[in-house]
Amino acid sequence: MAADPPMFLSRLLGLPVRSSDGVRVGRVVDMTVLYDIAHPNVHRLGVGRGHRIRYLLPWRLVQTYDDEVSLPVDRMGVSAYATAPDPNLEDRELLLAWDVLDTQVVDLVGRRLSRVSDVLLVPGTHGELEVAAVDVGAGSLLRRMGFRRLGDRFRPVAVDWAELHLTSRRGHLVQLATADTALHRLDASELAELLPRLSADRAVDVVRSTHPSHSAAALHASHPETRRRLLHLLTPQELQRLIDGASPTLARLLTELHATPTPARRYLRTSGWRIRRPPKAPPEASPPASDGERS
Amino acid sequence: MTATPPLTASGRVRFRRARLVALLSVIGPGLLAGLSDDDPPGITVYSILGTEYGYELLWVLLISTVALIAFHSLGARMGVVTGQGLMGLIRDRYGPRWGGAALVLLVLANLGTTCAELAGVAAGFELFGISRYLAVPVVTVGVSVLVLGGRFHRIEHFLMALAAVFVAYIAAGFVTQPDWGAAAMGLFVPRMPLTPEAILIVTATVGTTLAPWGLSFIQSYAVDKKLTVDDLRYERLDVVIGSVLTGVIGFFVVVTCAATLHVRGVHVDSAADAAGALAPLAGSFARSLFAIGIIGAAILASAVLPLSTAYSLSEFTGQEGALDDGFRGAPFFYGSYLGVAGLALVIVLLPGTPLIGVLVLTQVLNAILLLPLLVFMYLLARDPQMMGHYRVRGGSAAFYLVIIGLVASCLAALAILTAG
Repeated sequence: MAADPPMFLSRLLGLPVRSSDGVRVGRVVDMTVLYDIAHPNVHRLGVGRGHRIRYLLPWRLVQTYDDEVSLPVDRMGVSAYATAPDPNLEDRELLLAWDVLDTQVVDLVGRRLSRVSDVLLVPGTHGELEVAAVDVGAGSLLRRMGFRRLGDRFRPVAVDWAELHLTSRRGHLVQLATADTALHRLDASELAELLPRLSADRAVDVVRSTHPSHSAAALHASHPETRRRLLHLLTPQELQRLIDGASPTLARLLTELHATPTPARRYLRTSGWRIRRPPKAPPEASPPASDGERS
Repeated sequence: MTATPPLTASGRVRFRRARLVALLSVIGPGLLAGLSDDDPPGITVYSILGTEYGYELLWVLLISTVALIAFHSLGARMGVVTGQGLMGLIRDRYGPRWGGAALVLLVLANLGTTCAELAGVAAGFELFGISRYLAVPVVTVGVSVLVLGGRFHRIEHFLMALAAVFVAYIAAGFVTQPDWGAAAMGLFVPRMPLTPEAILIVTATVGTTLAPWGLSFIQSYAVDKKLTVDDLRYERLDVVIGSVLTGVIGFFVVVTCAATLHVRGVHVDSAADAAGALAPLAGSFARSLFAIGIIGAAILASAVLPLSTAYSLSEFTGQEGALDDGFRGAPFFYGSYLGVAGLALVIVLLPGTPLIGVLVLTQVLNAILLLPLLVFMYLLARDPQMMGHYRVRGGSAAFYLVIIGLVASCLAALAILTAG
């Protein structure tokens, strides 16, 4: 039997949801996954009106989802899954529309920052729906803007779900809290590539959640400006933890760098809009750049 | 409970120095986004305001400056808290249709403003007798090469110094001995001639002071600087300084024109007419001084506007783009820059383009497009899921609503009077 083709999340969003007694209980507002394995299945279906989720139904209750979602329970049965005023999510549960769709992600393989245009879902043989990848291409974006024909001319640009880092508030925190994520498998140079693409708060979160020796090596490999900025955002205790975990050479360098005051040269308008990528020379081969060496 | 030990004298010095370093490290977006409003279109609109209406409409400038402080502070706060620029944030929260609509509005407004900047370049060079057909292409190509090659910031201070010639208007304001009582009355007592021309210039003043590109610029630049919530109080000071300077320079431009051109019944139709307002300060040197200032400000803004537009486009579409990438590495980012700059160049060089008309109408377009962007900003700033603890609420929310209401009233009055 041929496997069902992948489908886009946006095709399912907005579908009417009908209970077994024929009552329309709302529309598909969102879908959730538990972020614990590489390619998780859809866990729950968020049903409601507008952007507000009123019910979070287990995906196993979904019988069909072609033109509308049909449920095997009546309206009273659906009301048992009411969630108000905010969706009561489990610790590692993510909302695909809210936390993933249209948010920025870092493609950890291609090491580029992108924005999610759609989520690719693969139907399984037992009714499950697996999250395979996100599409960051222009085609899905154009289709969702209403330019279907134009969008169909573009092929999806898929990034494997297991190889991306979400920057949405909840997505970022859930991924950091999960031990076996692609982010935690990055080596120091790869981590140094990631740090300048994140906002300062998110980048510091990554430094805090990574092993001190690993963080120290990543900071050492980073662009001097990224490194200086992040070091000054750490608390003294966090910095000490980093220094304690680093090699003696790195520890000395980090201590010296932290003692250097932040330069007040950042008020040049067009010197911005850059990604402070790590220098190409291997960190151990050259000492950290001074202010004068900065671009 | 332990008491905090008092700081020693050296400790206090170190504490003050640390605060100064912290301030200097975040200062920039607000100061420069605010001062950029005193670009050629801005100075032209302020000149017309003073020349045609004397001191009567100075209150518009005061309200515009207050609105500038409020919304630039909000933009910086949103950038810091969410880590995203305005266009990306609108797409993230309201989806690609609303985000796309906002982006189209912004790109149109930015294109118009870039045209106005290049028109300023043309006007400035024509004061020296250099044809716009030579000056504008050379400036556009030169600035594009410098910006996209990543070297523009090296001459940025020089251009800022040229643009700072407009500070001469402050001195000119004193030299021309304006009627300070009438100026104070105009500043604090609102009076409004209900004519389409007056409504048009009021709307243009709002549009040039609180420009859509400035709103997106300050938010994306706060993101680019990787500011954190700890920097917010310094950033607020930065915004206030920049906005107040903008308002002060605008005030003196209006006062100078009111005291010189308005009393003589002169009408401003060209940059050379506006240059006459500097004559009391610099005599025959006024035209050159004005021309140098307008050229510096125009070149600076014509570099930043396409760059800010390219950044917004890249952020919305999710195409990573940065000045380090080169054309092959970020074709969309670089192509967007060249597209905006090239299109503006063609529009400005079309034979028969009335430069002053381009400047004023662009500011009106900015004001019209400003309203939806302010509404988006308000809704996003109120969103607890986006802004969390830093969401706008209570009295602040009401204040932002009042400003949005005033902008909407200007536009409604313009629409009614123009239609009538």
